[in-house]
Amino acid sequence: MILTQFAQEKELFMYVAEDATYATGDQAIFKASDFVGATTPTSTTTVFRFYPQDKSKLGIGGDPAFDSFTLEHTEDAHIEVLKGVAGVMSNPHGGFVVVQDDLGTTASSDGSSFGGVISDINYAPIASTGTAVSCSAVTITTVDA
Amino acid sequence: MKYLIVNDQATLTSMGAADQTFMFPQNRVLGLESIDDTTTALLIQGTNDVDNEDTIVFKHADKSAAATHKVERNLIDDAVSAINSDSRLGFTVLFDLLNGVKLPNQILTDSTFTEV
Repeated sequence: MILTQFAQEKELFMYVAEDATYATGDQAIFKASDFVGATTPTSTTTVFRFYPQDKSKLGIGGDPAFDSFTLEHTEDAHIEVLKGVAGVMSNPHGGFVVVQDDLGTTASSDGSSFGGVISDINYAPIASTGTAVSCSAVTITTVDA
Repeated sequence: MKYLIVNDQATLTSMGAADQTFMFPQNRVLGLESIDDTTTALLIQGTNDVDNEDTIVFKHADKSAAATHKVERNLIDDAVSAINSDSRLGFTVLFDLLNGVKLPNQILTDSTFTEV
């Protein structure tokens, strides 16, 4: 069963796709208003958790089974990845943001993520070293998947 | 919505494990609590366990000492100001040991994040 409430006005939607070839892997959109938090389980991954879209997974009286996406990124670049995603996720005008899409293509470092442009977030380099930051993969755990 | 970030790791190569680096929305703050004379905790609704709480610890000077007895009160003002900040960037870093970012009345050493 899918959640029946509508998104709030000026909602911001974040799109991720696991592979540039959409027949491979999953694609999903997450609402910024469902965002619960983000943590850093390994040296190259950051996981973003959201309240589930599937009502049966809300876990009323207990804990929900979160929807989430996990970005695999440059080693030790968690702070820059968090700042990059927060920057686009906080747009007060709402809209559509591509967090990660064209994996494996030359456009993956374009940096524009607003409107209809299908490319990814441009992350700042690691502050203490100047190392460039990019994402190499995304894993979706979401909705009815 | 704006977002808040903390990082309790001071070494780049130590990044990436549980209870280290955390980002959460402003509206998940539950409250601030005095733990002892040098410790104040910011409680957040649990990110992985929503009926429990994640804990961010701010260390500060000893409030039992006459010279620094206002430090916790001032730290709470710092924290509330940062939490309510309408940051143009979309996020506010409460503290970051790696990059030396902290609240004005905070001591970075032993400031921590713990997820339930």
